[in-house]
Amino acid sequence: MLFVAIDVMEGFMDVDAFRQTIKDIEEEIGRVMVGQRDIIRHTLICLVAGGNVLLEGVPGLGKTMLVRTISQTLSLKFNRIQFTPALMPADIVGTNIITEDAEGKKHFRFQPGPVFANLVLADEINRATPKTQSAMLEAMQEKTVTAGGETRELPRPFFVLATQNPLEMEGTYPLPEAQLDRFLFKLLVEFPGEDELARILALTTGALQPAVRQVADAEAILKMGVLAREVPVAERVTSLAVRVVLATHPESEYAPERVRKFVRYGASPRGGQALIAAGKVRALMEGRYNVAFEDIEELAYPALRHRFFLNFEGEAEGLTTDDLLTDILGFLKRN
Amino acid sequence: MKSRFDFTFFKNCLKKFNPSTTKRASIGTGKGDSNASVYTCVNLWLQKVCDGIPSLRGRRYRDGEIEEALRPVLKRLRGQHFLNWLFRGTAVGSVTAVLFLLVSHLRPWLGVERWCAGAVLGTVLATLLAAFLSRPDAWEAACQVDGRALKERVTTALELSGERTEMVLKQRHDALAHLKSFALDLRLPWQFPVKEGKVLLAAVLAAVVLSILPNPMQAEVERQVALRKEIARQEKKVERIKRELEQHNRRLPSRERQETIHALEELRRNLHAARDKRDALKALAQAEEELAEVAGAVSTRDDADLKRLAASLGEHEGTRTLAGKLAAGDMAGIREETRKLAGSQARAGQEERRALAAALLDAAGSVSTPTLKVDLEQAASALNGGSPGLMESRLASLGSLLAGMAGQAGINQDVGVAKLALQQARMGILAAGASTGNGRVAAGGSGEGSQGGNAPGASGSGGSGPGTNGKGTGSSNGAGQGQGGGSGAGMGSGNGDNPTGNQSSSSGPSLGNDPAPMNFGNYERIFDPRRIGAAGETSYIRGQAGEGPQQAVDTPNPIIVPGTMRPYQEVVGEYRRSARESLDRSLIPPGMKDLVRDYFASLEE
Repeated sequence: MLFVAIDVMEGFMDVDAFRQTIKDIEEEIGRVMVGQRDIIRHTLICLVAGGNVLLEGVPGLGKTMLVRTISQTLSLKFNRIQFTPALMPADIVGTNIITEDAEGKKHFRFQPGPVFANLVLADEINRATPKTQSAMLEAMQEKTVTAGGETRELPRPFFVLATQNPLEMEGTYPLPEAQLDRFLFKLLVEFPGEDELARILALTTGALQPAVRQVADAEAILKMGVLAREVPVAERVTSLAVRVVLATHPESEYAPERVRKFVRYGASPRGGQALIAAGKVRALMEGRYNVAFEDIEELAYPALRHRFFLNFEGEAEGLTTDDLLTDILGFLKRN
Repeated sequence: MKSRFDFTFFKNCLKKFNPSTTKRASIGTGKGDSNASVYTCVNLWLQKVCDGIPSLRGRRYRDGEIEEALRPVLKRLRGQHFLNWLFRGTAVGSVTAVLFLLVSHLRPWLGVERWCAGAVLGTVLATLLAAFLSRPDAWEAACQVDGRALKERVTTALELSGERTEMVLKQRHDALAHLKSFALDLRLPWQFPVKEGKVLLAAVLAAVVLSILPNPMQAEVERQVALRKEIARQEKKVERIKRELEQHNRRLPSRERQETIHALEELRRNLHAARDKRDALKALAQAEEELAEVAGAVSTRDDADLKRLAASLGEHEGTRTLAGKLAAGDMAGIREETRKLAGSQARAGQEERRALAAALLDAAGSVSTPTLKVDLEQAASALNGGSPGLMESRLASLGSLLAGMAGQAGINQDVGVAKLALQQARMGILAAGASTGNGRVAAGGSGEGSQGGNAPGASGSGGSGPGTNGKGTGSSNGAGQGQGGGSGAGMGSGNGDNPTGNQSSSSGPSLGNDPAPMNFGNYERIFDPRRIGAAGETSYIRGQAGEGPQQAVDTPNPIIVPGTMRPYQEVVGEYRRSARESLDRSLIPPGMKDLVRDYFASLEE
């Protein structure tokens, strides 16, 4: 399952405190990041919901900076893994090494890899070989790592922020579908506009670099996650989420024409889980105590775009899954 | 929200059709499995129906506080809902009415205005009923409010109204707060149903245009109206005759009276149910056949003999009373009078008996019925013979014969009145059903000479039509009956079936037994096998005066036997009577009788 059970911690966070914390985090990140409000917000939603994020965009758009800034504002242990074709799985999860103690006796000791952190930045994850990429599977899904026959828990919260370059670029390996499905969101980082680019240049080339202060900690993030899970969802909202997921399947009765024609595989049930879980967080962020249709409609793109796949004809037509999601939402709204 | 229907019945139905309960109930019968799919289908269908109609669906969630907060929204929604449905219904009804009007311009439609009004009214009522059944409930109000501003707050609160967790209570509080601040007029303003309004406006305009434009079918409609009125009038007339027979007539024997009344009642019913002219004519033909059966095959000659006998006896002092009884058709009086006559003659002198014998012999000379003539002569002979026993016996025999003949004559007369009424009804209906205007033939007239006794000039009547009336008069001295069809101009002649040669004249071509000696008009080829080789009658075709273009007509059959060409109007009466006699004599199978009636009814159209 996508979400591991979270122990109920001492004392629930107040809803107002939740919103205030989110607001503070967004403000702090906004001091460093120019624009990209939706990317920041969706990343925070994933963080609270306990999911992982795949950020896709050309190099230089601030993806790494975003992750680093988040770790700074949340005072989380942060590790960055730069994926390259030469990177091996052991380089990520860790390995047993031979050490010698004071008495001169040698024995194996597990040397944790960079995955042992609260916030892991898997930079340019699609540059690594599939074997190495799959090393992240267990960590992302189970929040555990198995090395040398022993399974070890990862620190909580555990959050993988992966970045990837568009697949058309040279030297990339497409992520396997199973791994893609383990990302709660896939966010497309757009190139900044004219004004935003000017502000980025001004901000990053000046003498003073903006400092980021810590506004929350790991415990706060976990409490926010627990609170978000309490948010009620009406039947009809759940029904919409279900229908959206079903509509990505070409054989479904809810599928619009282009989905029937151009989709190879539909989204898995994880897509529905992602919609509801993220919707709850978004509802609290918006000051609501319930999930609304608009939550589902807005989050359908980041939550589902990487979970269903076009067939050859669809790709030949130049379609994207976002185009089909627009079709799906329009179709469901009409019917 | 207190006044809601209780749909326990439907719920029970659903439970009853629940396949699981049904299966449990039928364990051991072996029918559960085979019926389960049927029940499932019915159950799903019922569920779908109930879900589709808010009134049947019932309340999904109950929360008094939220429903109270939703009340203004619900009122607005329902008002808008009924407004939309009202316009929708009116628009549909108006379009239907326009279609009706359009059809009425293409083919005659009697009472199209009533149909249009009914369509509008019925559609509006139906749509209002539909609107009532599908009126929005609190849940729909919550959905509307959520969709417009509150973002699923209210529906979520309604769904979770049974839960009391901290988050749910906060959500509920949030929903109520937002609901109370909901700007009803801003978010949910009254909306005029524009689309329905446009359709309604277009339909009204079309209806006005169609009402203003002259309807080419109006003349035909008016003709149908006249026909209906005429049928109704004749129906009343038949009813009146029937009532008179029931209440006042004591002369007809009970069986004949009942049969006549029955025939008239059936005719009245058939006329009432008649949808067109053909039905009415068919009903009339059927009634005429039944009345003819009632009247029997007694020769009308007997009736005439009785009248002449009464006239003859009336000239003598001793038999004047008997003559009066004969004229009145009083059967018991005739018997009584002949008995008195026998008694008085037994005591009377020779001279008086001879006078009576002479009177009887005179009377015998005026009658043509052999039995009557013989009885009269034998009675006269007995009076001259002087034997009291023989005299009494002969007079009693004569009295019985006269009473019987008078009784039958009474039947003929009473039934004849009814038959005359039917004839008039036929002519009236034919006239009403004919086209009108521009000098076309409006109606056929008929004349029928009723039975006459000594009374001179028994009546004959002519038919009338809405255009020009045809009127005929008939006179008869004796028993006679004549029929005649009439032309719109009221000209023509007709012969009755009258052995004495007295004819009842009528307006129009004759429908009587004997052909008119000269006939004018349009002719139709009708094959009459009985007239092959006979001389036939002379027929004339009207031509234009003066010199005109000549026209040669090629006959399809170069050999024309004289007598094979007869005017249509001339022979149709014979054929009809022949058919009726065949019907009476059961020469035609029962299953084919209607076919024959239909045929002759169609000839009259």
